[in-house]
Amino acid sequence: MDGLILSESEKKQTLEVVNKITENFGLSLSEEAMVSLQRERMETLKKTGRVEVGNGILPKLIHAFCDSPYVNQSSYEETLSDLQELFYFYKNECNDLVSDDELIEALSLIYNDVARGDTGFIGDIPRETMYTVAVTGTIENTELEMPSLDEEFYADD
Amino acid sequence: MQMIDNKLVIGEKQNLQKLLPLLEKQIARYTCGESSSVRSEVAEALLQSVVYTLNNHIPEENLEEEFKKGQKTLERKIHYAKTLLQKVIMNLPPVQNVSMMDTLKSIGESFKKYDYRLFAQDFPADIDYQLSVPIDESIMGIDYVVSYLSQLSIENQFICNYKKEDLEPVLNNYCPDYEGLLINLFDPIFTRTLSMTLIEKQGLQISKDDIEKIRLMLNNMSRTEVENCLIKASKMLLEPKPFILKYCRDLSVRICKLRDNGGLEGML
Repeated sequence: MDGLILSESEKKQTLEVVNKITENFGLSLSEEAMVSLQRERMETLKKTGRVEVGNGILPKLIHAFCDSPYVNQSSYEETLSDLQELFYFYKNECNDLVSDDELIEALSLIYNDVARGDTGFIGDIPRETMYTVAVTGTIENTELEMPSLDEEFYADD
Repeated sequence: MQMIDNKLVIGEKQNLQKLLPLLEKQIARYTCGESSSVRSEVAEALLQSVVYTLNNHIPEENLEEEFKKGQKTLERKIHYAKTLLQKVIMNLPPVQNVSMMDTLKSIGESFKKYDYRLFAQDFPADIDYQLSVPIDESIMGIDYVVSYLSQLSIENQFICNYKKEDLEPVLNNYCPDYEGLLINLFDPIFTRTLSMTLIEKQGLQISKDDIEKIRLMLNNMSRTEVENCLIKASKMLLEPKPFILKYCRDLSVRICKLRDNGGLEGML
């Protein structure tokens, strides 16, 4: 369904907008990278059985992850591709019970905290855990919560 | 995504392209603006609703305006369906059927659940009571309910021409548990009345002589001649609605089969 793919002018417009957001963080996407990400988006949507209209989730993901210490220019496109796939995967896994913003916030929280920039780690998180983090906005009281240094110290005793 | 293309009634990509702005708005309404994507089955249902609201016609321009007009039309149809339901409830036949009552109750309750703004093609009622001639399955949403109640109203009004004590023997003969089983009450009553009309008699009571007269009358007729006879007789009883004409055609097939196998007496 080509109609859901952005037109050429919309692609350029989106690219300009997202690059403007990320320029202060030393990140930018080339036109080819944008085309590739859009193609991957369509494939992921097909794979996850979802339909999306408008600009897609990419601009929101870029906005949420551009200030992450784990995102750099060399892996920028690959990271966005992974995050895009994770986003649609967990949207289904959470039965559409969480909003786009809640899920992006949860992914960002996990990526920057326990996953330390490892998207592969995020993909192994059970859906119940992802749902809880998305709804509560914290990893506290989930299996993702790491023991504090004090707890680790006493655990050795 | 392709799957939407394949299942869409209107099919063509060009039409789909035209509907995308509306689909985008409907997705935003469905998700309350909290999600830019939905599962493909939800998108498909939303798109079907858009097409249904536009009465299967994609206008060249003013799509949004036409869509709003379509929604206003649906609102009028809902109002009309409620009036029809009221009419049916006020004119129930003197004999009862559990599935008819359950169906009317379910339709009444479903008006509250009917989401004509997002899923106009889906009226969520349990419509179990069978009509003498089923409503065309391609009719959807509130249109189905209007067609169903219109026909039910005509069928019940016809039954109301008779007293309970006249109806009971015919119905008992047709199905002893006519109150509890999923049967149509109009069918046996109308068949009997039509048969009596053929020999220019009134009422539901039929004698052996009457049966013999009917048998002799229909004996050498072709199926089409039987159908024409039934249609002529039906016009003396009811307005010639399309479902009555279909009923007469179906009945003529039944009559001819039974006549040729010597079972006409049993039917009458």
